[in-house]
Amino acid sequence: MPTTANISIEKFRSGSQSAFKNLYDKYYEALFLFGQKYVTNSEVVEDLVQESFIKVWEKKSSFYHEAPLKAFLYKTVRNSCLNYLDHQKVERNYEAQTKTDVLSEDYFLNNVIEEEVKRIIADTVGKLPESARAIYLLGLKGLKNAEIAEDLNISINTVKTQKQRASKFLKENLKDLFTILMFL
Amino acid sequence: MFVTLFLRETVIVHVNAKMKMKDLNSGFKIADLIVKRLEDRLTDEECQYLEEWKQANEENSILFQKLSMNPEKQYLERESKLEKSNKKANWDKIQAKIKKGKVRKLNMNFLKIAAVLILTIGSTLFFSNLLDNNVSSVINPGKQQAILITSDGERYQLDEEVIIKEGDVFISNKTQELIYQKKSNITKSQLTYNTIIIPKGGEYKLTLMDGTRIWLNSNSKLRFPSEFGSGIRKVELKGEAFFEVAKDSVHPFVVNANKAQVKVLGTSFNVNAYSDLNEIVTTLVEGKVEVSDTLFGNKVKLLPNEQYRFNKSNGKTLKQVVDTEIYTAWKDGRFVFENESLEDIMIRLSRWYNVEVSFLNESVKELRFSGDLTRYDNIDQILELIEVTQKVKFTIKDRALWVEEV
Repeated sequence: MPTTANISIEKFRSGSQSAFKNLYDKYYEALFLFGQKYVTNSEVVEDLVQESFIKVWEKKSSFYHEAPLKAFLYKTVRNSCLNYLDHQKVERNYEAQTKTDVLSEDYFLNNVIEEEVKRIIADTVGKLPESARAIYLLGLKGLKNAEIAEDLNISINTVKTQKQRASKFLKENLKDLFTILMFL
Repeated sequence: MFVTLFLRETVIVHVNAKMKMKDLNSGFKIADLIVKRLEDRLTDEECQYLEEWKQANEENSILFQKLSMNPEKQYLERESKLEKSNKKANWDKIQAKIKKGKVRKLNMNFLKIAAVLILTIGSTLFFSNLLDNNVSSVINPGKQQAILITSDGERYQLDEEVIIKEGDVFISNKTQELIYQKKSNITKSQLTYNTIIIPKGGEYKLTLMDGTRIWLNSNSKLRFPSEFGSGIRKVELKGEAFFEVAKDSVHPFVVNANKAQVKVLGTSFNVNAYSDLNEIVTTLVEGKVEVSDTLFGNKVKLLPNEQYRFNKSNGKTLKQVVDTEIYTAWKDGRFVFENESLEDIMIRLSRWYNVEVSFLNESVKELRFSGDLTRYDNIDQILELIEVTQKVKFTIKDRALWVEEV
């Protein structure tokens, strides 16, 4: 699984194709899955996500930070999906089936949270060496070491060592993942 | 709690940031904290923030439970769902479309409707409950419009074609700009004056009989002789104009702008002298000018790329080197702003788009933005760009534009 490079907003603003590609690689999948929360047809979603990236490219000079850029992408995908549903007049059926209000802000926000969490975790997994991936994922559940050892059929000490290694690796390499503006 | 944000390298903006659940940024932060929670790396503060979010409503705690159950299975599920996507192929498509410069239509009508709807839905999302949010009227950009008043008091609408003869001078706007041409060699002793008025939402170009070209911006007025005499070439300006003065070393060209005077020999410069603003700003692109004011008697010579600001009310002056593009881009049909306050940006927009701007919060007036875009798009385009920063919300009702903080 490819690891994501850091996004250079500066380079993106000035039209760098490689910075744009990094942005695409980082968010494409999350946006694709997010779009499917609104429109089930995966081909349509892919087209809509494509258009959102093209839009963000066209507006590249207006972004100075990654967070608003990310927000723009999610919002644009959502709007395109809602328009598509409107056009298809499918929305009412969808609502009746699932009893969720696809139009609501809460639905929007919660799906963004969900896809972001999954994206960050997947990204982290991608950055870990093969041997540490399973342990990392199992460790997320908050499982005790003994339970992990049992699952993977290894000794508890190995689990502890691997966890330490993973943790150290994470600490050193993940500072850059969390460069979001923090509102307190 | 106040948080300091860096919008640009050198500008600091203080924002009172409350926890607004509808804000995507808070969503990003929650996602970040949830991951940290799963990795058991939360600080006490972060833990509390997350707890508050979890308890804020049932949906939140349900979401949290969902995301903390079997993340390894969710990871694998995610990977398998992604098998239906074609990341590389889609990138190629994006590249192709960008190169073509067109967006492919899914089907003929969909995108046309979508383009309009996206803008509408986009702005609907930002509408507050305060104001009626039914109709977002289309606010068109300015265009060429002006009124010419000749020395005999006749008024001519310049969006219609005019051909006028005043003395020995022929005035016509056949070429979309007003041109004064003199057909004889006789120099007049008594000057007759014309006035051109540009309303809000207008712009116009004119060429005087000596070949001087003048671009006039919205809400401006220029009084000038239909032909120059044997003395100084003098015009009176209210508002904003860009001058390309024809060289004539014998007859200096003087712009009288509302308490300041700009004297030139042959040159290109911009004068911004709106009566509703305190400062008269002269920006020199090429040549040499001398700016003086009639209140305090200051006299300053400018070299290319220099700008002189004169404050009518307190007499303060400032001379500085500038990027002239920022101050002259309007004549080429562009809005260019460099670290400009939202308040100033809105003043410019209100003139060109002929809308009334009101701020609901003082704090957003000081937010700063930079941009370079065509001024011939509808106002939605530029407002959308500003809204992307998620600091500002715009609401349009008829020709009134409300600005508030997010």
